[in-house]
Amino acid sequence: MPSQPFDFDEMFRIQAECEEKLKGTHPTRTTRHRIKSINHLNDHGSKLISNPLAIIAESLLRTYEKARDSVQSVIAKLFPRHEQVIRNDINSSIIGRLTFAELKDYHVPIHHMHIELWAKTRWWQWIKLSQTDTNINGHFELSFDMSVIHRNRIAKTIRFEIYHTDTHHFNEHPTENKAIYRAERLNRLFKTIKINKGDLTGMSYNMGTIPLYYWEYRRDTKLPRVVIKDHDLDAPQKYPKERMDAITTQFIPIELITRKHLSKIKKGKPLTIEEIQSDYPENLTVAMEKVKPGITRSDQWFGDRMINGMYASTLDKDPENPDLYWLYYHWSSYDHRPDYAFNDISMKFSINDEGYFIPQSITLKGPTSPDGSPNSKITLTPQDGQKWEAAKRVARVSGGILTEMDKHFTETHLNTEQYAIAAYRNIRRNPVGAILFPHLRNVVLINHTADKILVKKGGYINRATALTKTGIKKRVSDVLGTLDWKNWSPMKPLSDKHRYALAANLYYEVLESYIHEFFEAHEEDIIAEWHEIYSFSNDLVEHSVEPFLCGHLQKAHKVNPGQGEAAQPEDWYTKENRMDLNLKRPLVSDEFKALSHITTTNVLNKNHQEECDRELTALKKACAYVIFNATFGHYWANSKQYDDIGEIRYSSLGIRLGTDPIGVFGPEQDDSISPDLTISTQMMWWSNMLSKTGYGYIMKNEQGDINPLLIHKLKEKEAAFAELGVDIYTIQSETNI
Amino acid sequence: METSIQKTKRTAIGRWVDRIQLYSTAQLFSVLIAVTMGLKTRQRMSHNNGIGAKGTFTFDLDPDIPPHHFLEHGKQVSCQVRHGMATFYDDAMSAIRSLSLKLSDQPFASPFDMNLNTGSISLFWNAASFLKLAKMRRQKWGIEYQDYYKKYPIGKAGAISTLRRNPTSFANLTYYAKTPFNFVGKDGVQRYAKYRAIPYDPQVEESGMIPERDKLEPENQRIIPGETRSRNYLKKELAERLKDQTVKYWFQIQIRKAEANDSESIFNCCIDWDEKEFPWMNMGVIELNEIMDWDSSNVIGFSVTNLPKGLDFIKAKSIYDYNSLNYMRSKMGIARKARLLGYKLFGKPVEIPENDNRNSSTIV
Repeated sequence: MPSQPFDFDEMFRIQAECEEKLKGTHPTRTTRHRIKSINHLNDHGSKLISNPLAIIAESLLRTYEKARDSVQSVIAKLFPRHEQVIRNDINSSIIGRLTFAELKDYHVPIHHMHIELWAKTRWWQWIKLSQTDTNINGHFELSFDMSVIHRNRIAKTIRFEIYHTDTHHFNEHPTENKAIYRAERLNRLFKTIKINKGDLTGMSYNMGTIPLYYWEYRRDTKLPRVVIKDHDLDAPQKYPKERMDAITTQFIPIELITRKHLSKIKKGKPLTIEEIQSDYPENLTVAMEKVKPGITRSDQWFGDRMINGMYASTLDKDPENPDLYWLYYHWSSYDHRPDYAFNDISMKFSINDEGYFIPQSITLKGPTSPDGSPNSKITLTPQDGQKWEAAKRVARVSGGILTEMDKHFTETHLNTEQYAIAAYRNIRRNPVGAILFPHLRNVVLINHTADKILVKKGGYINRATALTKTGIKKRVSDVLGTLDWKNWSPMKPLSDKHRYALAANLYYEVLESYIHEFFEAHEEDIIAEWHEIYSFSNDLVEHSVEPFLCGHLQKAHKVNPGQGEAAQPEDWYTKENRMDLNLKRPLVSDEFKALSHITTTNVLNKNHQEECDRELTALKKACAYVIFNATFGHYWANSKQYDDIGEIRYSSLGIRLGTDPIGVFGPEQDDSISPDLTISTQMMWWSNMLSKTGYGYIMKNEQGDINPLLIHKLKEKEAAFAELGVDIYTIQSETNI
Repeated sequence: METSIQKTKRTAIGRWVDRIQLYSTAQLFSVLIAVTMGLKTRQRMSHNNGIGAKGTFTFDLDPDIPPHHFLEHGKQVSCQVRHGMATFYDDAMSAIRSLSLKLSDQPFASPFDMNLNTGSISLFWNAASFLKLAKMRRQKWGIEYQDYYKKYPIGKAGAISTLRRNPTSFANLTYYAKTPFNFVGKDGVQRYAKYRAIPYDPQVEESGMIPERDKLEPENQRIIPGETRSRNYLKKELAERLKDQTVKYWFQIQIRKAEANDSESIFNCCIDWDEKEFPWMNMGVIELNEIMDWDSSNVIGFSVTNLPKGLDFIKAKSIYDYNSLNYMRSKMGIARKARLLGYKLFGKPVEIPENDNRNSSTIV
């Protein structure tokens, strides 16, 4: 008797009902505890301020800071800094040059940095003497009237002030044309140098070369990372207070649950995975299982999550069977611990008549039991009963670590950081900064924290998964080497049920349209300040990692980008959402680089129409790629973590070989396979922290720097996004968690 | 970002405070020089290494020079010139060379004195920058003003302009007064004047221009390795030259009319006046025919106060005023008197010996 056809509608209805039920159920802080800072988060126990004395001291400190700020505010009102430059004749100047300070960077000029010269009088009044920007060689000349300084002996101190220009505020243009929202550059004080008034004797005063530790590249890694020695002191950016408040409110309850578990484990008190699970807020799979047991373990759910869940996998056509689609996880080349199931996994999917993705087989290569051979290989199908169910679990876990390491951490966090560093180092006057910066903000801060608690030796990935520190390092470098903006496009939808790809394309279309309109409105200024784009591109390429293609694909496509080779890949290979293998990689100092140049032209002439169009198109594409990854790409991989790795027995980031001879093919309830209690509660800590502590949304525009045009365009597509299960109000504007 | 500008105002009290500061700075400085250099070491403030010569000055006035009661075409007067260098006792060093002119045969009294140095622009531009230069000299073994040149690129440019290394003769150098003076002629119109002296033969090429290497580090004024020229070679060359010939210079003047909208920069000795707009005009011929001995050369003194009415120095308002340099010079009389007193009390300085005390700012 044929089995009853699977009711997809029922499954999605249950999903929708559970999602609706879970909305707003996340607990908020009800205790006195506070989080010291995001950088002090730790799955072993974050630095909380909990001692009553510490809380009182902290309150006093806050009161003091408030009082200090109030006094400063009053002083600022009493003695305002008027923007008018005071002078009669220009008869003096202060000259010099700004360069980056790091050893390799010492002669690299900092162009277009805004600088001002101020005098503070004996009566605390401020006099603006001069202002300028450095030129493209980093040189500056602040021309001023020396008589103003010496006038009536009023000037007491002279301050040379260097400003960041890394954020904008959008003002709506009075005309109907929304593309012309005016981006007002906001300058933030970066460094003040006091000048001895007596040194200003007229003519030119040379401050010489001023090296600034400003968005420096780290030299201890080949990855393009920024130098942050002390997160709270010398980081190039700071979280806004609202971000701290949000995480305090949202995360303290979770932190306290984890602390309770860790304390119990430490004291040897009884605790089970089920107890751990029940202490945390329900996630999607737990909620759905309560409605219909087994629903989240079904093949149909598995297929849908692999394609449309957190994993959002890129499928190739199966080279062996054109009717199937192939998904492959390769891990065996990466250094790992032997007690974990860390198989190379090959999955085959079919698409049914309704467009849904159905898993057909899962092949696990490598040991699946404690005494398994590294060369063992087993292919399982839905007909294999418990083993098939267990294989899906191994695949979910493997997909979990892959999504976390490759898609989330590398493809969005690290990938965005490389663009952020290059952009903040180079873009100041070019209007492109106004559309990039809101999405590049704070990524380096969270990446710095992730280094410490997630990926370094002893970090969560190292403890909870098979990957060693060496394995993590190589994996991250390899994945970053597969990423490039050029000729990139979002994943191609394989059916009308491929919701992730449809949503990604819809979002990308919105971005393209927004960027196109923005460029039309600001084309002249973008062209005029093209040198910044040239320098941005140079920094990107120069600091990029080497391109990477795994040995299997090198062999299949007969191409190795690491050797500067390019070739058209085989037809079965999906080209979307991937590096273009047909492009030859740029060569820098005898090393091929993963990233392509956005431009190699220092000056753009608008009279050369063809060249202008080509270069501007490349820049638009690069902007779209960067914003896509920093916003939608990150939102998808991050926000769905609690759905897909928020149930310990359903999936985690690591699965052990267990103690039973059947190894990973044992039941979910086998605690020797599941993560241990510490890792389990820490996994819940992580998935809550990543998915449930949001701040910085495009539609909310908390910092006021998102172009209203983008908000407007997203709003126009709200219904279309909703149909694909995307709530536009939850799309983050920045990669900050 | 567009710069919006607001004009500033100056109060009467401020002006008075400026003047008091200028006066007290000049007085203090001159007393300091009088005590520490004039009396104690019997030195001038600078240019101690020099030699005098006597001769005549014949007024040969360009017709475009506005009439002035002091300037009489064809008149010939006695004159003295002291050629010197600052601030080392070694002719073979890279150094500023000077020509100080006195239209008189007296050691000090004169109707017209003028101090001129090589190079058209100076290392400093007002009293404040001069004091800064003095403070930042930090001379050691012929290297000086390192920090000053780093902080003040115009000062470095001035050094490159003024320094001369191993010129073949004082007679083939061009000397500039650099600071402007008043020129109020018979018509009563306010004008300003700059002076210079050039070799009589315009075809003579100026020697001793510092090579490119020295331009990179003007602070290094030391003799070149393996130098064979002596500490006194240039003074000796002048003495030898005057044994069988005269040394002649054109004394020239550059005049500009004061305009209501003149910028203060026209008084800046670090900025040349446009020679096309304000051409150099002949004022007279200096003809030297007799060398002076070491003692006579030391006794002679020059001052900006020795100028006829209408050709005097321009009044200054503050230490930042470009004209404050001549104001400071005008107050140096006490230093000269202290030096002469030192000669009487302790004897005159010895002549620079021909020895191996090279790169030195002391005689022995």
